[in-house]
Amino acid sequence: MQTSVSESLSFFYRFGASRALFTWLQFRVFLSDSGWQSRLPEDCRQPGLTVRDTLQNWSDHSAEAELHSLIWVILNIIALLAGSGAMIGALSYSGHEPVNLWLIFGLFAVLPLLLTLFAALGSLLQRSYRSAHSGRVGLVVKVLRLPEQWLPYSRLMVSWSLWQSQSLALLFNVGALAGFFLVALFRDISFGWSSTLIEDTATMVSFFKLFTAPWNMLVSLPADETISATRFFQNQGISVASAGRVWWPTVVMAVLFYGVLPRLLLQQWLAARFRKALSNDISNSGEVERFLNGCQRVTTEAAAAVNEAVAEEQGTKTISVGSKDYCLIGWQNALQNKAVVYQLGLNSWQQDVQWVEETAATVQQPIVIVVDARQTPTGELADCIELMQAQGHSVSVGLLPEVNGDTNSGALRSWQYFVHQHTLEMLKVTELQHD
Amino acid sequence: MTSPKLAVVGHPNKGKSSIVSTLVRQDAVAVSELSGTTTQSQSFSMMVDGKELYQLVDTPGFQRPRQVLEILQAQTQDASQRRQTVQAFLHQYAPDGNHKFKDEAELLEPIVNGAGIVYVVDGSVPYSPEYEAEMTILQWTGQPRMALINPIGGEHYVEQWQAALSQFFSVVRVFNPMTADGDKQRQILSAFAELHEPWRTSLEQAQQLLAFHLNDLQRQGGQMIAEALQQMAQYQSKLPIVSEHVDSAAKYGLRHQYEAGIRSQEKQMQQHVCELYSHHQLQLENETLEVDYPDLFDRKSWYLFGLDRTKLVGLAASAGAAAGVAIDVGVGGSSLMAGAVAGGVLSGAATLYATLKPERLKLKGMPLGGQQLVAGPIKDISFLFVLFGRAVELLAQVSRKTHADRRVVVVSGLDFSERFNQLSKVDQVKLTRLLQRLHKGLSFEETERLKRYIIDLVAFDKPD
Repeated sequence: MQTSVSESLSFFYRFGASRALFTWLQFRVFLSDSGWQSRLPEDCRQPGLTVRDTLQNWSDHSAEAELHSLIWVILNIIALLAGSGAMIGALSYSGHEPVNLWLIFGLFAVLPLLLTLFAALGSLLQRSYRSAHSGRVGLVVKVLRLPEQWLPYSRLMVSWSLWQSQSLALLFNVGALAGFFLVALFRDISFGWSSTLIEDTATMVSFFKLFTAPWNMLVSLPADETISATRFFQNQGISVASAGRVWWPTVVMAVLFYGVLPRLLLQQWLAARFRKALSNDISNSGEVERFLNGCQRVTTEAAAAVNEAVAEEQGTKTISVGSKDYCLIGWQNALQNKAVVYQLGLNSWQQDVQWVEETAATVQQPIVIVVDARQTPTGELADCIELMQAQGHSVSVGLLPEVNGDTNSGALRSWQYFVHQHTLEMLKVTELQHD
Repeated sequence: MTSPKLAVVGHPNKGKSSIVSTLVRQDAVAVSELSGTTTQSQSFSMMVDGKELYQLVDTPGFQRPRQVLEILQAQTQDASQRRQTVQAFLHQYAPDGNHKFKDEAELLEPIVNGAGIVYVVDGSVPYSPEYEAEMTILQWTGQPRMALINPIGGEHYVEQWQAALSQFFSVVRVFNPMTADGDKQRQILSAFAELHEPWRTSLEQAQQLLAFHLNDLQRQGGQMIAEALQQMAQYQSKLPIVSEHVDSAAKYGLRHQYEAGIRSQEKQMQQHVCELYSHHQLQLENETLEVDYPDLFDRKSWYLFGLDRTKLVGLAASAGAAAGVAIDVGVGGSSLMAGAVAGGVLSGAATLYATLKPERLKLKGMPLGGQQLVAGPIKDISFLFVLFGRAVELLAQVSRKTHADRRVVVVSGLDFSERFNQLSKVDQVKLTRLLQRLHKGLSFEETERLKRYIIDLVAFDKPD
């Protein structure tokens, strides 16, 4: 795995998956603004920072959105209390009769199992990229008072809300189990079963065997006689009152195996699916890379300032190579072996200086330094021109176009910039005449 | 271990900054067609995953090499003293001093401090002896050095240059910073590795990391586009309406609002792709995106929280059932879940009736529902192909553009069909189906497939 991916994952997940989602969405919202680079904290631009440190510096300066903890705590408490309350209510309403096993199994084993399967099916069919206007996500955002800018990232929100809804359902079931033990601790609960249609106890024995199959290795089913003895009829109770107590381990296991465990498995699967989706988003969305690119961006202010300088367009006078009105001096390769009195820039600097001081001093006409358009102006050329100007010469730069007669715009602008800087005139040299 | 550092030096305006820009993959390096715009040395790091792979120093061009060489020659007795002489020169003419050898001091300082040398020449102009002073000075520093021939305006004199440069440099390569792809960049890193044995390991590692990095960028670019396309394909603009009759002005306004929204999303996606590839200053020229499709408008009811009628009824039925369960629990289950069933049915039916005319739904005068004119999502496959084609073309151009190339990128999907035709017929059909489902939202697996198609299409060479 890349370093940046592993480091960014460890940063976002440092306080758990839910906080990872909130920090990640806040991060994406920050990066979605076109001017995010100008709002980047200076700490993030420090050289030598690791990916994690850079993200940490961003996090230190951003208002991190958190799940409204009070609302979340209240929702968790409600789920827990609802589960306990439902179980206490179910166990308490018995009048003079034992607690009907059908009711307990129905409400806290079969119904939760059906709902869990329904939720699992719904989760499987859930499309990942839902519309940003998805009602469910909008509702979650409103209820949990989360930032509305998160709505475009609803696919992660959907995944997270599915996981969280199963966590709440799991709390309901755990609450129910806790409620059972609470009542069982302080009350003698007698369980029994009753039916109008089932007359045969053997049918019930078969049913219970099938129903308790998942845990019969751990807790054995009450004996056939006990099953028979715990049948009760309206307003009659069970024949052996103490026999009703033997059902409690079966009730606990039913709630555990049909209510809690499937829900726990679904919750864990959805948590894993959410983490996978979030990790995939962090690793593959390119947002971290974009952020790091912005942080590592260096500006070249000094150079940019020069770059802004506009080379002035000059009216270019044309002269021919054979003209007797000017003294043509070549610069480096320009007009080599042609009608120039001397070629500057090819010998040593001292030789050039010597020539300028001795020979050029005798020149009567205005001097034109002929340069090749493909060359670039240098300080040494400027030094040569200064030497000639110091002798009282009028010096111009004669630009020799490229072989095809054109001049590269960049080169032309460079020469224009050069003559502008040194207050010179630029001429165009044409009509080559060979010696 | 410190990362390898190389100073990119040469005559003014021979593309030193362009080479730095391409090799460190940053468009922050100022590139100008004006000669002498780089006046100070500036170091740029090639970073991957927050790790520095190497540093390149962009330097000013030689301005007075013959004068500097004469000064150096005057102070040196024999070859063993050359390096110390260059150091002494820098001591005398410090980069921050006020003298005429400022540019030479700026470019020599990083070299004297240990940087390797990358000497840049222009392969489109003939070799001439004027460059010998520059090469001699660099030789005197004694640092590991190589030469890059930059064919700015063509390769007419490359052979001539190779013959001349090989006398001064152990490694000579041709490198065009405007067109160099990832492979070419890695080849140059390989050449750097040849220069100096201690750099070999880190530069070989840098080549590997760069290859992985480029693959990651392509993958992330594909993902970015796959995500953005789904958001764009699902985009809607809404306008509440109060009467049965919707005038054309309202439709016109809504169409413009939708058009602006889609264009803004496309622009944001483009900016993100550019930023992913570190093209922060890239200029894009978009051909106008038309959204004039027959299925643009729809009249719909809206309800609280943006839920549609089915969801609202479902939600109400669930709430009713939950309330009924509380009653069932209260009576110890003797009601046989009748409370839950009745609560669900009653609540659902009541909501179904109440939402028949949503505009009448009010809570303390605040409307809870109503009618609205909706623009989008456009399900027309040709529109989705236009969006897709433009995005793929953008990614193809941006991913291949070097950071020295500052030309404007024109975004249009006109050439996309040629790229699309390079897919097999089966893949063409599969991709079309994916695009048809875009407005509904794709699953993770479908998104992954769409991403793969984007990467494959980008990898195809654009037909001439």
